[in-house]
Amino acid sequence: VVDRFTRDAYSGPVLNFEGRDVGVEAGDTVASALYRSGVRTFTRSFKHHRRRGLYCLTGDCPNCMVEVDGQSWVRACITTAVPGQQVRRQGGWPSTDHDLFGIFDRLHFLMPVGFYYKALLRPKWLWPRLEPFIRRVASKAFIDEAASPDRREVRHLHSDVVVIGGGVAGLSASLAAAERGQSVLLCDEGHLGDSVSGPALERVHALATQVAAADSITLLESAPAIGIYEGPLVVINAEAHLLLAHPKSVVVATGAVERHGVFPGNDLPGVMLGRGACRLAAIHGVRPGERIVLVGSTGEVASHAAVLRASGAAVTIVDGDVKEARGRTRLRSVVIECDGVTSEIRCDALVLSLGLNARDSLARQAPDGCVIVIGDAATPGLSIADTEREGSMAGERGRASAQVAEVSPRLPDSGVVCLCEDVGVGDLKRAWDEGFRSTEILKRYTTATMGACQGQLCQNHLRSFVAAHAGSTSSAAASTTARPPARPLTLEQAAAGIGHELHQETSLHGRHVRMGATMESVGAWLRPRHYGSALAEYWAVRREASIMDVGTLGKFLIAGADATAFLERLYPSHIADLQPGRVRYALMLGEHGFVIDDGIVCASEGKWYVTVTSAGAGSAEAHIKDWADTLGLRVHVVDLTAAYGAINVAGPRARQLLQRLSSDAFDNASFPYLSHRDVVVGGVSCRAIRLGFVGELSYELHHPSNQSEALWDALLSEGTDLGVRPHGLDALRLLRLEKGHIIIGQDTDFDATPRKLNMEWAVKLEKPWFVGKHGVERANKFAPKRRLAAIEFEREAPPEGSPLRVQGQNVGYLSSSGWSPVLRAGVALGWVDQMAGEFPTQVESGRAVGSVVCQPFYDPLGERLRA
Amino acid sequence: VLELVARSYAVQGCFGDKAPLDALEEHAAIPVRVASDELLLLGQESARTVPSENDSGLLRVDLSSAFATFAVTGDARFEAFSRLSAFRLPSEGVALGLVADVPAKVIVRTDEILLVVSSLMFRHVRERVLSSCLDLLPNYDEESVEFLEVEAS
Repeated sequence: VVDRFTRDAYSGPVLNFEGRDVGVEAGDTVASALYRSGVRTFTRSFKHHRRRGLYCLTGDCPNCMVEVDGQSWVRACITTAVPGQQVRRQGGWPSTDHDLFGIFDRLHFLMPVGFYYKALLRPKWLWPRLEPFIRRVASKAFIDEAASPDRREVRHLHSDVVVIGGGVAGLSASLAAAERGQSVLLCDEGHLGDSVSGPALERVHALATQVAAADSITLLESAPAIGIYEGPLVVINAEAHLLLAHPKSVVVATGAVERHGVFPGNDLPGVMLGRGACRLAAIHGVRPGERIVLVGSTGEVASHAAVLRASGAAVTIVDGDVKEARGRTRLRSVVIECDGVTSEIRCDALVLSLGLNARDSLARQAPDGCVIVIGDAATPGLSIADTEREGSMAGERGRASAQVAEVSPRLPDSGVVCLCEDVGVGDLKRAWDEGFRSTEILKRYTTATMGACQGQLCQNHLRSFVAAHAGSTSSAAASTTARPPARPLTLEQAAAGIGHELHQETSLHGRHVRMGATMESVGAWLRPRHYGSALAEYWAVRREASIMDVGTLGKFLIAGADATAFLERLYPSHIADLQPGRVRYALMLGEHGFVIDDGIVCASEGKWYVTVTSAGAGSAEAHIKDWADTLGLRVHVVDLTAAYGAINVAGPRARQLLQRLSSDAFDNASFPYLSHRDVVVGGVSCRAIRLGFVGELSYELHHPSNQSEALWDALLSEGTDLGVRPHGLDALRLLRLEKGHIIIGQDTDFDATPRKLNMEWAVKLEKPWFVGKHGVERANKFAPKRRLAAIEFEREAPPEGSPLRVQGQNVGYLSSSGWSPVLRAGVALGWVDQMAGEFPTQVESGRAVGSVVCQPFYDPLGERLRA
Repeated sequence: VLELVARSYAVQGCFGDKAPLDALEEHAAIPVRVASDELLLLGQESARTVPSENDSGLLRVDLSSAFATFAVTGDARFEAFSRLSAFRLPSEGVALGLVADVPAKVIVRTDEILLVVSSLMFRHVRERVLSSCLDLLPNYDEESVEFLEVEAS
């Protein structure tokens, strides 16, 4: 026992506790330093604002949570005291010691269990107004939203074994595994030896010395394991990182927690668990009380008594039942029943040694067969020798899961069961009477076991309660499901490793940024919306020439002996008849005949170049490769999305621009619409593809992506006098809408068939087979009840997503809409339902009235594309 | 200490039957076998001049612009990798998996780890290494030092 009991004056380092200095001794925790200075009320209970003082001192209960250096909900009993720390209590108003909300402890009848569900439903305005007040009353803890978050990263570790818990069992298991040649990651939530005292501490020190000398053991202190997942994957909340350990096996040696005592007044400051009280005295040199009543019948009572007496306290040992703890602000006396005789003993500390419960929340999280549970975590109360023996044999004959925990003795009529959530025996009774009759639903209704300790103290009492009412063999009394985190963690810790936004950037990203483009996230891509004026960009395409970065398109080379046969099966269009140098638009269908993507197919000698939509590149690649494997054809599918950039040169002057930069021919005769050629533009070798997504003469230049910037710069500089400027997505969306071209995902639903999209022309049902053919044939047996329609509005079209109505009845919605500058009308694509067997010809959306028209709105004969 | 260097490698994608790819792999400087019918050869300048050619049943495609390669060197390279990826590195050789949340080919050599990722992810990987491993880059000064150097192969 550390002798700090007789010191008169203190002149060492101090921490600041609510404006006053509190001495800090070597080895102190925040709790021990505060307790030594006379602090007895550490917090107020969550609901009834009852005073709470130190109780377990092992980091299991919620009674010592305080704010340390601005961090709320810090467990004072396992937090090292550091000189200069700023510590304050969180509960109560205006202060924790003098809490006006303590009145709630006399108003239990107003706040019965489940009162949120019953009392605050109506009127509806009540809850939104009351919630902020309730939150403030519950605690003064807060999140400093102005503070810069301490960003934490995830780190992955690999070892043969992860051992959780640095007690005798965990240390023995680690050494045994190391001797077997395994690499070991040993983690403990504190420092080795912190949580034990007496003979166990000596043994821990001896084993820790061996562990330190073992090269294959990595020791992580102050690193609580907070979850075990499939894999196994063990999540450890270390000081610097959130560690994700990927071991081959896991040993859980988390020890035991002392059994929580339930009786009236059991949460008064001054009531403590035995091991905690002894830690206070033996490790920190703080006397738990002057007159201590020690209650219990376990084998630890004698050693506890010795430690407490060595601290100078008067200790009365009682082997009986505690009937009540009495006192107003702190413990003054305890009522004991012993051999049928009830007596009241004056005291200032009640130390309970009622037995042990396995600290098994991690073990219960573990998937079946994933972990070995040893020591007190499996069998509470093992001797040191047995614990060490079991640790040494872990992995050889370890248990796959914890033993079923022994249910606590029958509960008395009153007392606090769940310290975290302020749930008493009476609350459980009321909930039971209301029909909540198993541990799981009692947990949900009363929130018992759902607090900071995650049921570590009250789980067995809850089971005991249900067992007493439903029978001990009833499944209703089973342990509740344990879920991570087993130990509390901050939001920053929980958010470790997230927030790394994943953006794909084309090879022209730097150019877009330099030109001041407003960028937009489109799926995984970062793409320019506009470069200042979407309208000017629109007119550049319609009247002059404009370029756009379309490197986001999915691009694939399909080659191999069976490439043609494969594409013939993959697409619903004819492919085999496509001559080298020609291009065809094609839909991509899923197996059920729904449209999943679209793009073009370019024929070359012996190989094919295909593109898919920007958003669909990833899934299209999987689709293409899946079908290549499924059909068993000799095909190579090479993803060229990253390898090739693509720039679309569009507008009436596009040909003129390209001709300035190339000696290749771009005229209609040598390079007709829907064809492709290998050309050199501005010194860059390109596959030029003549298309018309924007409704004007246009050439897509596909080229090695490391030459994109050179090509882009050449096009812009050479086209200055032609009015060339880049256009972004805003202009593109409008340009293609005027042509009635769909965007997959925006204008299609998951069940869009070619017929619903008015694109049956792209499906050749006379082909013997293609992916989705049977689905299309099945769907074609029924007239579609919904289809995509082109809708023209005299004025501004309603925004995308707006509902469409006919005679007040909802008939669909707009999937794309905009104001067409060239047509001076609102144009839109929208899904419309049949009404009385016919598709409507007029629809309303808000005050706007639209007419269903034939597509496309602009250049219906496609003359501009072929110009 | 950690160093991250962007390397410019020529990359040749070879697609074909297993046997000819096995033969190619044996003689390559840095082979990355992606699948039984797919092999990437790094560092061969000839790749740049052999675009999309069928060569004795093999399809060879210049994929130099498809990939970005980073060399991670220094004593802290393994710790840096542990912050970027969940998978266990082999002591030497090639592994495929997610690094910095993107698919990567990882080549473990005696004194360096090569990360081969899509060129679309160049900036993402660079910034992710910076944000996750800044404390391992003691000489990095955001204001004045460009820690990332591009090294020609």
